[in-house]
Amino acid sequence: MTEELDSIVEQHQEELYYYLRYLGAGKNTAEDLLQKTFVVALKKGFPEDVEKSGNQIGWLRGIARNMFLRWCNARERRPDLCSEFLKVAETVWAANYDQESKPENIRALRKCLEELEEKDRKVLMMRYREEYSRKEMAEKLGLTENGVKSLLRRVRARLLKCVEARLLREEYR
Amino acid sequence: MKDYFKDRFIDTLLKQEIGPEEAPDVREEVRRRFDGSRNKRRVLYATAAALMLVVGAALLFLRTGRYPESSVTGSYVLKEAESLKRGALVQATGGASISLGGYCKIEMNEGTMLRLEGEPHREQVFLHKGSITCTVRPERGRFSVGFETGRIRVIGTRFRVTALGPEGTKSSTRVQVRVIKGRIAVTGTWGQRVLTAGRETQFPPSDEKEKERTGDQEQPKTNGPGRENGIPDSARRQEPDQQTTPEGPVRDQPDRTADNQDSGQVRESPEKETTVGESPKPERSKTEAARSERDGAAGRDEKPKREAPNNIHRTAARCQEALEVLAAHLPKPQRSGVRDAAQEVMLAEQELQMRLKLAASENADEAIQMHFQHLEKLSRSLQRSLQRKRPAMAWQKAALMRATVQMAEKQLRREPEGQRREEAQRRLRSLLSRSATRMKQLLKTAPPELCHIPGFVSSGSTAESKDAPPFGKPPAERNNHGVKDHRKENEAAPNGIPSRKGSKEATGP
Repeated sequence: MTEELDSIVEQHQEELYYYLRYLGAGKNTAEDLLQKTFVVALKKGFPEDVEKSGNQIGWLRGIARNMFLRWCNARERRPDLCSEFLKVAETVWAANYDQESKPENIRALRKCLEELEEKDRKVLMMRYREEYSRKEMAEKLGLTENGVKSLLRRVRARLLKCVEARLLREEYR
Repeated sequence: MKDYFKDRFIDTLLKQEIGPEEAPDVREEVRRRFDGSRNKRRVLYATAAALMLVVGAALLFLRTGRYPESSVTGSYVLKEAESLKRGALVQATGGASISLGGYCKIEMNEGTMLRLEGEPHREQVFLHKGSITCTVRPERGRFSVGFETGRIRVIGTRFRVTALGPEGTKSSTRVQVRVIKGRIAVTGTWGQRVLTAGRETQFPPSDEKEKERTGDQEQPKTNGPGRENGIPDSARRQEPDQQTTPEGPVRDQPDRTADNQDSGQVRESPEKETTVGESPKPERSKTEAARSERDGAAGRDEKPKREAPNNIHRTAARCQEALEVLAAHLPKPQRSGVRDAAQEVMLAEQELQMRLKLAASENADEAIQMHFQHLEKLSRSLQRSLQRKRPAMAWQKAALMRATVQMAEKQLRREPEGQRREEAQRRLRSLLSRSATRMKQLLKTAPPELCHIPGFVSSGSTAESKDAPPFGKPPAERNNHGVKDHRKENEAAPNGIPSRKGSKEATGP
């Protein structure tokens, strides 16, 4: 039982963690929800169809989504927004981040990062590697916080465009 | 919103690829939580069980551990036990009060002797002799009073039990029970009777006592050895003193009216018509002879249809009882309670008049005898009221005496002329003269604040003369409440002593 539990957790914890982060959970919240997701899954046990199809991550992601929804409902004044939000989020995630496409996405992302201008790459490094806050970035770059926010969004949009174009080219290659 | 999530998606990829943030390893934590959740239910059950045990133990402790101990205050002597515990025999050498279980309060008169019995929440005492007044909160437990021939079970009440036998003997063979508040059930060889507030009856009932006297062998159904229906075997033992000399002014006449209302099972015994102050046996024989003359030969061996002395005695007893109850219930008689007391006595007076009329219509000679007895009794009662400085009460008793005298006179006028009428008139005059003299003496020795009592002659010998009314002035005018107005009389007598101006209006012998 212990080995089986460790195996399941080790296999799916990374993807579920980033999924929860993608939905908007903070680090601690994502870790807490991740643990609860596994506990619930182990209590219930994998259904037969899930066992047969081998789509354990999809079932686990459903549990994690419900966990996040409950957490979101407890925080939001309008719980219906959480539900709508999650529908769209799930669609985007399912289209771009499955087990098969994940390595390609990562590869395309790395290529695109190399192709980015130095200024944009520096901004991304400050934000994601150095983990500067917007306020700190604004002080260093001589911008306002809103200016940093817009700048980051624009850089990410260029990066996304690059990744999608690269994936499309590889698909037709 | 889709663009937003695409941005979020790239953001997540960048965190994953560039950033130092890595997915945590939650295996240990998940294992701990998973095991904990499995044990959680067991812990929950164990906690609930422990909680129930604790609550149960606490309830048990509250019910048994904190049961108040019995306590006694006042002047008393303990017999057959060193402390106040079950089985102890308590004799009150003065007034004493016992508290049992925190819900029974027993007030003992001097000379009362009782034994503590029962168990927690089922307190019981056995009355050997004397008189006790019990106040019980029935929601806290049961309470009963045993006596030689039965048991009184509380249904929620305050009541008084008086053993009627002579001192020095086991005297609770016969008891008088008076219910002040609530209800009680009295059980014995005669069965069970429930008494409500205001009732006063003796037990065993008359027919039961009659059976015992005549040695009737008929036995009731038994519930077990030793005691039957909670009644000891000694219930059947007879004490010679008691068989022949019932005592007490109101005690030995069972309430036929009340009995009929309660159960209709108890019949009145002609043997127990004797009361304190009653005429001696020759007079009684005379009375019976007169009755026989009226009833004819057929009525000699038959029981009379109506027994006037009993009714009058009952009425007198109820009047006295009403006064006692009112006096006990009035918080401050010197205030507004006096008027209420006066009204109550007026009602009692009216009832007495009615009873007297009834008695007079049946047997005039016997009714006159009853008038004498009642006047004697009222005179003593009036004396007590004056000693206790209760002028309003005293005045009402005087009014009652006046009404009795008028009725007696009326009765005398209906009698045919002859030796018997003369004898009756002589006795009545003598009685009224004695009463008037006593009143005068009382008023002379009474405190000044009592001298404004209307209806009495404060000085002179008017009351002793044959033409003068025996009690001075007639009653004052009554107001709407039936209460006589004293103010006019007080205005007429500035010194507080009523004048003799209106005394001619009163009827005298």
